[in-house]
Amino acid sequence: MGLPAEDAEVLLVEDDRDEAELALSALRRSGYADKVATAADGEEALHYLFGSGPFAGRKPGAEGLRLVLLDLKLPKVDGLEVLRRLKSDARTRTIPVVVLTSSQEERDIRESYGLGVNSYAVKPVAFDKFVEDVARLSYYWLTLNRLPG
Amino acid sequence: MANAKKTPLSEPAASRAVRKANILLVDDHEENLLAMEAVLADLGQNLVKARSGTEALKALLHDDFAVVLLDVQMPEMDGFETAALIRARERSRHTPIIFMTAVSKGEVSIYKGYAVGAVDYILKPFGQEVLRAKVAVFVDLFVKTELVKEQGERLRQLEGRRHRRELAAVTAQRDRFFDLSLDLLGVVGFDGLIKELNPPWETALGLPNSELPGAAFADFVHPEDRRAFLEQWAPLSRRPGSAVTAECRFSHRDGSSRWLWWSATAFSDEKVYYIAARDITDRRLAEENVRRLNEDLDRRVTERTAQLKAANDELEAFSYSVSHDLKAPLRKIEGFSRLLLEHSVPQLDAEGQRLFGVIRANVERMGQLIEDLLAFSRLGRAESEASQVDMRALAEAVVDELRKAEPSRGVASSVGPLPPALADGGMIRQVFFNLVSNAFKFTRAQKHPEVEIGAEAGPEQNVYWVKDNGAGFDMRYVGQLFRVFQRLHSAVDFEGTGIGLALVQRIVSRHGGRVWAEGSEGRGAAFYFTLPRGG
Repeated sequence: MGLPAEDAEVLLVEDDRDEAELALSALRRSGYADKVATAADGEEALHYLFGSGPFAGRKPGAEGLRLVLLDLKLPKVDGLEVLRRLKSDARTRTIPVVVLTSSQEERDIRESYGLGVNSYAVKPVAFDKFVEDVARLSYYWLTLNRLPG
Repeated sequence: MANAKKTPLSEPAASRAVRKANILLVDDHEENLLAMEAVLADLGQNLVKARSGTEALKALLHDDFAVVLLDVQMPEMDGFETAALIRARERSRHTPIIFMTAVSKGEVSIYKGYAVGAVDYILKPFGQEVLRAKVAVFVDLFVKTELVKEQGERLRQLEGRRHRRELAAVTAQRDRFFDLSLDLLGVVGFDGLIKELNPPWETALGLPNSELPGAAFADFVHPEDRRAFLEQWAPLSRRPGSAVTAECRFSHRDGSSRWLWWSATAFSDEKVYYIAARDITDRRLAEENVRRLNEDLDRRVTERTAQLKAANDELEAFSYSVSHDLKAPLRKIEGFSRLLLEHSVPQLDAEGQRLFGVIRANVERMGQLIEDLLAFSRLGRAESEASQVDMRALAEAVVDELRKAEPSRGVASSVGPLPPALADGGMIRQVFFNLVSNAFKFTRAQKHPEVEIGAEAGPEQNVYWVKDNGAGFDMRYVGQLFRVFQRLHSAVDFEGTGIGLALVQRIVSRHGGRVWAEGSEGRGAAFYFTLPRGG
């Protein structure tokens, strides 16, 4: 998968390749998101967002990025930590982050909101439903939502 | 004088028979004395002769006299003068005096004699019979008076002896109780030194009783308790008669200590403290044991609570991992099988599509199982809050919701008056939902499905029920109904995961209630549960 598009609108942070493929498939079907970058773990996501490591030279703050879809259970740096770093840095604070996870744990929801998440969505088991949910999310965040200039 | 005889008081009984009264004859003429002696001799009394007033006074100094025959005419000190002196003395103040006078000087002289205390006058020359008779009267009076005095004395002695005897009896009685008492009794002086302690102190202090008197009482109090003891003891002497009661340790000779529960009071007449005490060492040890046991229990409860909390945390971690790990692959199977279907639809024949449907149906079922199981385990951790629950409104809302989900089915339902319960509304809604949705589900084959919700109020617990006229069940298997994943019907006839009733039971037990069921195959089922009654 990797991270193409300098001008990605969506960053999908997902360590599981199968999950990522299903999510990308759903995003594609939505028709709102064709410029999607993916990160396979929290560390890679942070490098991408802050223009460090393999992404040195890339402008921090990720201009043009309209949505981060974040899984919580990630190797190296987990999702909550990624969220904390994003929301505590002025350059990345305004990027909308939606936690997209299979966890319905109250604790995860609470902590995510405590760290300033913009939305929290639980992946349904049924694929049809998942496609529908992703389409709605994309429509809202990529079309309706306005970001500060 | 020489004949004067003392009356010994020590032998009153023996002397009474030979007692002779003293008669004092006073005259400066020897012949007069002899004359009187001659007349009075046969009275058988003790005659004492004095030849002057001075001599008479001397005699009266040593002895008591029944009567004094006093000559008025005497040189140096005459009769009147002598009489006045006799009267002035305490011992002879009441001794009768008879004046003897040769020639009456007339009324004046007699009057003077009476004035100085004479009781009678005899004129000389006297008639022998008159003298003897008069003296005899006084002798008799004297003897009787002496007798009365003597008897009084004897009486006093007798009483004294009886008093001493009674006192001795009381003391002996007190001593017997003192020695017999199982409790500790003692007397301590105001100086703090032990006067007397009864035998039980030997056991309490480990010292022979003979060593205790004279020792300082406070020395036997355990050093750590002595200060408190002295503070409790101090007010006693300031308020005699008041009592102080306290508990403290006393030191046993073997180094151990004994708990004594003591009570003391001061008695200022005798300048002593009275002490009564009881050895309560066993009781204190038992109390100490109980306290230790309680502490131990507390500690174990704390430990157990910690263990339970750890187990609970583990369960939480488990359900978290189930929710995440178990659902993830399932969702992938779902997603990819759907993608595969879309991809292969043109190539799949009818049998291929049917097989695909079986896979998808099972995926769906497994998803539901996981969701139910999670709901079940989440309930174990959920905080519940009891409040007044309007059971009727709750039941009606659930029936309404289920009816809307299957609008085409005409389920006849009745919700009776349901008394309010004291419970967690959210949880009880789940109970109604599971029971009523079961009733809807199992009446599917009925032409005229009926569901009845009712209740009966109780003093502490209300009984609620949900009855239907559906498929029912065999009472032989009623015990399996409420177990997780247990089902009495095949999934083909009635879908379900077997969690619903287990959840109902779990919720009701958490409220301190009971769940049971009645039914028979093909004739419907009834589910009952109890909840604490609301206000």
